[in-house]
Amino acid sequence: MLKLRQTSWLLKFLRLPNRPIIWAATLLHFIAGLSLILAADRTSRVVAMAPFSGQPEAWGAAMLTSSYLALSALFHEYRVGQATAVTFFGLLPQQAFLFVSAASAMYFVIQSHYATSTGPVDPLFIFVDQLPIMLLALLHPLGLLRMHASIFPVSAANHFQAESGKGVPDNV
Amino acid sequence: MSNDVESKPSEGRFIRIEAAIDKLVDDVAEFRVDVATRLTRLETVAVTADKVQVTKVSDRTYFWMRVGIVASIFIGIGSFVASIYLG
Repeated sequence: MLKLRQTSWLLKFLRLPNRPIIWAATLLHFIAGLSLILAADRTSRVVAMAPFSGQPEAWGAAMLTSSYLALSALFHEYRVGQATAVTFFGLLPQQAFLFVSAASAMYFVIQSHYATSTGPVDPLFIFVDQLPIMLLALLHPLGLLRMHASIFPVSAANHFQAESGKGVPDNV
Repeated sequence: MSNDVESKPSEGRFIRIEAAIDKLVDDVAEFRVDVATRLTRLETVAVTADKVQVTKVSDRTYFWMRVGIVASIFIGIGSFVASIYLG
């Protein structure tokens, strides 16, 4: 089980702006899902979407669904006024997709060629090229934890009982 | 005589220094009260915000939330391992 306590200092240090991260992932999956459905033959061999190129339309629909779930989660939070378990579970599928995309990017870095079989290409070139999707995948769960700081007691304690004098909560 | 004459200014100087120290102590005390007041206000804000913001979930939900976040990461790692072995 992930030791959430170990991530608390990281959350405190990073002070991630979690909404932009979540919005970026939501828009990414919306556009990626749409392009997989509408133009599968032209977009399915993008590095981040290569794992879904077997059944691009189905995976595109799943991606769109995850994007809509994330949107619903954000809307739910807006309506209720705080992050709840519903928003958390609504954002999880998006995170899974991000990790699959990041894993795919890492795979092609190791393989030294692009998903379109373009190559061999310097692994460092592909790594730097694909860095945004990997960074997004890494930052998304941290942003998710920070967004739900009032549910996860460790990260909440991190925010409310800060050494510097109990500042106003900054999990927005 | 000469001692008395010399002692007067130094005495006055001591008095001035004492007065300055007293004023400094007063200033520090005032500053501490001010800081304490501000901290108390901050604490009040934090506690109020805490009450507003804290979301209670059941133990079971909390368990599944933790499982979910770990599972979503392992899905990615699993797909990576599968890509390596399956090509």
